[in-house]
Amino acid sequence: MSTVLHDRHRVFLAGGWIVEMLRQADPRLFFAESSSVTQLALHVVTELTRSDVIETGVAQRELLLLLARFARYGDEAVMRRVQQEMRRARVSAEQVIDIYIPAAIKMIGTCWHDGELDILQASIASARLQTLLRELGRAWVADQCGHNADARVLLVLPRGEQHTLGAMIAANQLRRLGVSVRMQLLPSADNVVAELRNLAFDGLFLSVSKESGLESCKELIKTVRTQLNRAVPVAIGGGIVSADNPVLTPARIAAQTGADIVTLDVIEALNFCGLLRRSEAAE
Amino acid sequence: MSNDGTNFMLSGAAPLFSTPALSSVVTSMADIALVLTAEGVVTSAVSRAEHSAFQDIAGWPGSDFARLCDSASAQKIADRLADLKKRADAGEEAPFRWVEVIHTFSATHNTSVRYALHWLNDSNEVLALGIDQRPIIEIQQQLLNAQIALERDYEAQREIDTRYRLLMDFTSDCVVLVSMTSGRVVDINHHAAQLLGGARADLVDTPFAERFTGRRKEDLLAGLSAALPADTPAPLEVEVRTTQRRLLLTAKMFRAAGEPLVLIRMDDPETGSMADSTLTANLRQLFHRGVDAIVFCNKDGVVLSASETFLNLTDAPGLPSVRGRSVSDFLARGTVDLKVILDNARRAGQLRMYQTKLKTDFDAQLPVEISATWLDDRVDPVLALVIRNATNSAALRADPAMPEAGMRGVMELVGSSTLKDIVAETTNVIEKICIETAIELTRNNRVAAAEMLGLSRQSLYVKLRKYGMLSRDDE
Repeated sequence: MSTVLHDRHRVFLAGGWIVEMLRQADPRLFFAESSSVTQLALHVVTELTRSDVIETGVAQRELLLLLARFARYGDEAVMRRVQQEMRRARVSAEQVIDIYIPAAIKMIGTCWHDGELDILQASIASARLQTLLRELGRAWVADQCGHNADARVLLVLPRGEQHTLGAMIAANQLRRLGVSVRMQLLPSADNVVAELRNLAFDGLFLSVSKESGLESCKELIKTVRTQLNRAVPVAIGGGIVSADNPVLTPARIAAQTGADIVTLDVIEALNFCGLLRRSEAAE
Repeated sequence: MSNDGTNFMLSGAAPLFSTPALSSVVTSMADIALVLTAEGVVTSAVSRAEHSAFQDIAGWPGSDFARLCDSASAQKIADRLADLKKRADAGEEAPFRWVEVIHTFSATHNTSVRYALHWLNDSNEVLALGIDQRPIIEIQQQLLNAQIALERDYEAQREIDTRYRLLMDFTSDCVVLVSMTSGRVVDINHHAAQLLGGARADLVDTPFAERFTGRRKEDLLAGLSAALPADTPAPLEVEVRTTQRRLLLTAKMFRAAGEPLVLIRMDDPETGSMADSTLTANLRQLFHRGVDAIVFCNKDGVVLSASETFLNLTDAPGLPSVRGRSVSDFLARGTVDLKVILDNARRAGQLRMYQTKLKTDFDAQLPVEISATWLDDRVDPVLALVIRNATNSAALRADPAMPEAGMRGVMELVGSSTLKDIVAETTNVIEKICIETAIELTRNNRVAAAEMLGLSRQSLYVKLRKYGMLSRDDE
């Protein structure tokens, strides 16, 4: 390793600053007196331990099945096994919220669609996952801190929708990113307009789960656009947005409802609305 | 209990519901029972007598099931029957499926029914036992309403909670909430914790009386409540065990959800008196005449005020030429330095002896050590920097111990990820920092930056894209 770094040392002679940086990074290889290695490491660690990222990836099947079983039967013993398995497989609470709960909901939806669960059983299963989400989400209650402390979003579950879980996951993710979120569940269009007008939110996010809800979304967006005398970016997310559906693509949903962006990714939505500081850093 | 089921069948159909006893058993379990051929034609039908939805069930035998429901349900039934037949043909014993269909009796009258479909091997028919879903849908609707009400309450509670926390942190009073029954601290604000010489988290749920010299729980709480009946209760004087500081306690008793609580305000009688003003005067002297430069910045690193020494070190003509500028203008690595300082100060409250170079307005560089303190006892936090000229001391100092915050971070990492992952992640982060620095130093000249990094322009672009550092115009 030493020779590698020394070779790099030669390469980098043109830019003395980075030699300096590397020298500080590993004093044993260069001069023993330097002490800033800790600073670099500190900074690296700060970057790595930041928990404001949204997790992506594929759920581990065994844990997912356990979680789905808990949702189905509400068995405390199964819940304890879920927790053990989380620790064993080093799955974080964020991963459970961002990956596992949505995957479990999808499984429940499929079971309901196949008739294996009736609507009440499916709703109860979803309610159990929502309780779990609230338990796991406790760590991010603070509203006033975070990198995007200035961003404020109105998150709406439009009328005609039934399930709150998708909206709750989105709220949790947004809050983790430091966005201050106000939730409105099944509000009237007038209510939404009043909130946007009085509290000057930076964006309107709608959580939609079924195709039949798009018509009322279109109406809501139209009302907001005509009654509000400023442009508010509107994003649609939720169960309606699916990569598996070749017909109802995000672009189609956007065209049908008049939304500015349709995505499952809250970061993409924030970025689009210009609410993510990180995007400024990249410019 | 007798279920006087009404039952109807095609002549020559399977005699499944032929005996009244069997028919009664079936309709005690299901609202409706049908026998279907593999092609979906109803051969027999029986329903619970009192069930109004299936009044015209007499006409069902001989009908195609698809005609009795909506088109989506018809498709589902056809799929399920085909599946059952396939499985039966493959030799599976008594295949079974669930299906939910919507029966359309008229334009306005629909009923959702969930059927259990059992394949009958003897007759190659399907027994469909259906439960009317309307009561279940009603319960489900109640459940969803309850859940939405719960979520609304939860959101409202969140908002109140945020306000309460902010109030506790923002008020200049030192406030403690103590349980009258257990004598333990229920909540304590930042200022009060400081007065008691501890952190908030360490004080919550500990006995309040223990913090004071010669005070027992009963004695202290009795003293506080004894003063209450008076119109203007006299404060109780106590001495903090650790600091021997004398404090005055004023209390207000109340009950919340059955728990008797006491809200206590702690005042330091010396605050605002001579002792405090002497300290202020001394600090002012230190700021103006100290050997180390002192700079106060806002949370983004913009200079609010700077001491004379700082102006001297940076060759700045006067305070106006510094105020309002980012302190990163004076740091050799610019925003990279500032980000490290801000991140760590914000995270750990302070940063010790960060080594960098101070840049003067004439581009000369001076090695310095910076100590940063995050003053967050107010709405707009302030970053206080003490900057020491390190021209002579740099060579003398040995490797200092890793700051606590860093150690904590490492402890968080080790055990939650594998070494391989940590190293891989670390490499990415370092790569990104170096690229950011190069871009910064070359004022976004990509050719120069690539040369500095020993990368081809192509590789630099690949990495810029990888780390999301390309603006839209670049792509």
